[in-house]
Amino acid sequence: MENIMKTEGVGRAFKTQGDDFWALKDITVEIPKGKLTILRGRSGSGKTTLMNILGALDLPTEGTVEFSGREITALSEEERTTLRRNRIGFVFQSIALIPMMTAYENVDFALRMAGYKGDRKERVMECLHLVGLSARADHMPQELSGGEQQRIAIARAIAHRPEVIFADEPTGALDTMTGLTVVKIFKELCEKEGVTIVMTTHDVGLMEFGDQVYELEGGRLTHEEE
Amino acid sequence: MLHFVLQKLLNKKWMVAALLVGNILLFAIAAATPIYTETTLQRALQTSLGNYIEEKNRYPMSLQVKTTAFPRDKAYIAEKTELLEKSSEVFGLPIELMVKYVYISEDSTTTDLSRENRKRTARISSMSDLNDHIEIVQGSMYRTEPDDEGIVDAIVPLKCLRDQAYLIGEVITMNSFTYADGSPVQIRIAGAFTSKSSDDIYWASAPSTYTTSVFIDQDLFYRLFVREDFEKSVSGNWFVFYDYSDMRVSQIRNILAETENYEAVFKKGGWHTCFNNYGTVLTDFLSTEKRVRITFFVLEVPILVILAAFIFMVARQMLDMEQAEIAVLKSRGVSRGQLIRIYLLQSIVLSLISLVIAVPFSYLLVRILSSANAFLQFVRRHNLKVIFTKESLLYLGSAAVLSILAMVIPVIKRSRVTIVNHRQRKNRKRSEKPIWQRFFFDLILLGVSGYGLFSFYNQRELLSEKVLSGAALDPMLYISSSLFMLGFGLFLLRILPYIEQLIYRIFREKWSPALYTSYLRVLRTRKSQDFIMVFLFMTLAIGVFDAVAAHTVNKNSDQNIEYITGADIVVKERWADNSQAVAEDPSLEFQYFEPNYSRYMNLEGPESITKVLNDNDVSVSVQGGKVSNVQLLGIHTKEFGETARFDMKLLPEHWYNYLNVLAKSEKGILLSTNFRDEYGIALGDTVYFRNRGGKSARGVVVGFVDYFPSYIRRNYVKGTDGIYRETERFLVVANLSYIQEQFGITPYEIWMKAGDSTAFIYKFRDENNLSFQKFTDLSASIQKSRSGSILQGTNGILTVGFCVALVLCTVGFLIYWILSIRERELQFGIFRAMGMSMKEIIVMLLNEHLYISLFAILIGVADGFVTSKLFMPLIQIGYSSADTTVPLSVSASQADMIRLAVIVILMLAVCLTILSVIIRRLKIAQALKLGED
Repeated sequence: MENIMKTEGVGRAFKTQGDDFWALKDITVEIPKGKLTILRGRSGSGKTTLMNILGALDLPTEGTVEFSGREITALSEEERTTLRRNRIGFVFQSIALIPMMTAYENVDFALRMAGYKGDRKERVMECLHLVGLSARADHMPQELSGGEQQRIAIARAIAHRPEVIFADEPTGALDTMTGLTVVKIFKELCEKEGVTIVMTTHDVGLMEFGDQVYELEGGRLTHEEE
Repeated sequence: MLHFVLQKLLNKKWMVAALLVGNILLFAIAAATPIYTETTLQRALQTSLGNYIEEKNRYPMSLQVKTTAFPRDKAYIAEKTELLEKSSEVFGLPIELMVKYVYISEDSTTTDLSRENRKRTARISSMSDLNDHIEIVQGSMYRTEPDDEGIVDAIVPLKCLRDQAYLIGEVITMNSFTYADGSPVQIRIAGAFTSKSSDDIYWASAPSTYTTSVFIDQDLFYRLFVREDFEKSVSGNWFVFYDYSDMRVSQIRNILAETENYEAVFKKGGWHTCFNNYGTVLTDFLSTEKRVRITFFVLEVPILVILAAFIFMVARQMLDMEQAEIAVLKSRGVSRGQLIRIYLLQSIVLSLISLVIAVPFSYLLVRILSSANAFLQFVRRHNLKVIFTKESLLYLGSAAVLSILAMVIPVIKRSRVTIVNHRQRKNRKRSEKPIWQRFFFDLILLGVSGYGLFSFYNQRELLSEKVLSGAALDPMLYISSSLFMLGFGLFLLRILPYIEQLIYRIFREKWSPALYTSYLRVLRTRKSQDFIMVFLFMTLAIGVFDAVAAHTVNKNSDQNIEYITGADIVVKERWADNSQAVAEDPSLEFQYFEPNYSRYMNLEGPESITKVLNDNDVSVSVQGGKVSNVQLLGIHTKEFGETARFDMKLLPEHWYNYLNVLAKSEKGILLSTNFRDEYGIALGDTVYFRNRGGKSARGVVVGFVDYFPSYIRRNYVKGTDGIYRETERFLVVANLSYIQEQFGITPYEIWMKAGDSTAFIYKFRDENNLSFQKFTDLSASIQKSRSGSILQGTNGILTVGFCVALVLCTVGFLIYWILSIRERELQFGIFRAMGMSMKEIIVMLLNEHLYISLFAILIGVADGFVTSKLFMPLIQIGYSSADTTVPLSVSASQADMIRLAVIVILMLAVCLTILSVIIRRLKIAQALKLGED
């Protein structure tokens, strides 16, 4: 299987009053292209920290991260910004739509950001359709339910056809049924659009959907299954 | 609880700092208002008393009791004298000097033995403390006891000595005045005196006016003549001069009332007359005082209101931030009352801290205010007495209550909210219109203030008459202008979204994501920007209004003085004439002697100089009678054109054209247009005019003018009933050479155009020891009017108002932005995660900034200008004088506008710098709250 990303001995330390606190230590993972990878772990296990590092939002204290063969840990802040803009999409735990934009505009915004060349309108509707919300295009985020908002966030994350989507606890704020819908959409995306998806969750019930599952505990990898 | 409150305050440094700034300003201004008013009035009082001396050459604070005959009873006199001395206590003024002048009522006629048939009269007099105020110029001072033969020593004023032809050492026997034993009163002329110094208040009447008085020692006078057995009656004239250097405005009413009492007492007691010099001065001052108080108060109200609004805004904002906390507290069983108490305590703590700083600050503020010379211009004023009054405590207290209310009222409203409706509120969200838009507050305000404006315009003349009679301008006028300012600004704010929509529709596809986002935010979060925008535009509008108002008032006052004066320097010497000779020999013809004009020609200093005949007492024959009190100007057209000051815009054509027409015809005259409008005089008509001396001339009308240097078209004259009424005035302008030919030598004024300085004319005056009948230095007049209490106070208050506006603008602005960034940390995180660079985020904020603040600033500036254009012509009336002539122009000074612009730009720059520092410190990961670890 082809890997789009891989890490080598990644560690991340946070300054505290006393000694440094190592949120991550010695993490080596591989992310298969076009698959759904799940990072599992309890609160405080370091999964979000790992995801931030994978998504080029944060830099590791030690170790390297590779993205399609390029070492992103060696890139400048600016290059990482460009990388995020064009090749990465995010879905956040706290539903993070831009409140003053409609569903449509939120998705459209991702396209504007990435400088999408094609027909933006068509692509937006396509993405909304994909998450089953094309009828809600003109609604403001606060007029949508939590699950709907998260689906719009997904539509936004995939709109500019990023290679990898990082989803941090995308189901965290949702009920089980809605959470399931979201994960199913992820699965579908991997299959239909060939996107690589990395998501974190603490929900054991969702494990079965992962093509690859890493489990973290206390900042270390404990378990790996395929 | 106090600990909890302090902890709470420490956690919100920015907001607390802003609240403190607002409170300190509010308190300091509130405390400074009465102090400043008092200080200004005090200065004005001293000035008007000083002016009295200058104009009347008399001591203003003096009371005089005069009698022609009083009982020859020492006890009675002592009692009355004591009563007069007690006035010092009653008035609360120390006595500078008390002069007791007593004399025998009947003059004694004696014969000058040295010259035959020459009668002379003598009035035996005495003045208290005479010795201290005279200089013996001949002979010696009197002895205080009669000599062995019973002859009493006396001294006489030098003029008396000459007029009565006394000899030093001469003994005069007053045959008709005899002592009880039948022996005649004998006086020896021991010496002659003059006053020690010419400006000694002791000499309310100069020694030379005592033409018959022979002065003896006062004690001796009492012993010899104030006794039952001396048959002639004795008169007295008592002068009390009060030291007014520490006189307070608050004493005036008491002094006036007590003076009336005194007058009554003396009248009743058989003392015949009692007068004072200060009655009119002080009464006039009281009306000025009222005007000053109202004007100052009205000018300060908007500043106080905007400060209260600021405190309210910040308190509300702070509360918004604590909304979640409040909701939690409430759900844990904290009662509403407790909650309100917590905030009450917080506001009291803040107020106390502010008070401590505000009190010394108010003192500083008074000094700043008092040194304002023009808008944002200061001069050093020496001997400035700052007077603390009880009122300032009252004001301070009211301000504290106001501020606490502004901080607590929002709590009362919010404290009802529980955590449940907090969530609900949060979800309900924006896009609804602000209350004022839904209820059309803007249109209502415009309607109300528009009506006010309209009705004030209709009674303009009445307004001026009232102001001149000493009333203050109707405060409703100021209130209307403030309401209009708010209404018009809100109205512009209502229109703004439509313009923004339009821009958005045109550009939305072309903009970068950052610009697009910022614009979308501007459009969609209208309601949350509303308060800051209203606040910003109001502050700026007040700033602009204050700047325009100050400039307009100053400029119009200056221009009017300039117009009325006519030139930089206008002087007229006292012309000698032969009137004395004519009186002795009526066959002689009256004539003036022209002073030497050539020494003016040789002066170094003036750029140009001209003779101007300026006679206000000419009559002109018109159909069916004559017009009196016409002003006649005899000018040399070319020189006059070069010398006089005149605003070209006042006449439809360049005024040189009028001068040229006049120059072309020797007998040509220019008339004021009212001759044409009221008496039907037309171009080409011949008009006869005559001066007071009976000399007449005729002129051919070559033009009509509404304005001409020094010509006051309409002025207000106080009628016998004390009410000012508008009076039309007329003007004739003719060639000086022609007038001189017709009238003969007639006194003229000399007008000069000064170069950089007018010092030369003072030097000239002093060197030649000249006495001028008229001596006007334009720059000095302007300076004097600037230091008039109302104008000076207005400048001070407007300057402070403007500065407060700027401070509040900056602070309000910063708070808004810091909050808006804090609130959106998450959003910035999303943007950063989505690949927006730091630079783009700053561009985005900058753009937002630009739209919200720039539009608010533009609205504010436009609002300020429109309001001042509409209201200043009316407000200006409050500053007009009886001879305001130059039509009002409302204008802003370019320098002020540049200052305003610089300060605003600086403010924006400071804000942006602070903001970008804050943004740079934001950690995306933190912002997104991704890192739970």
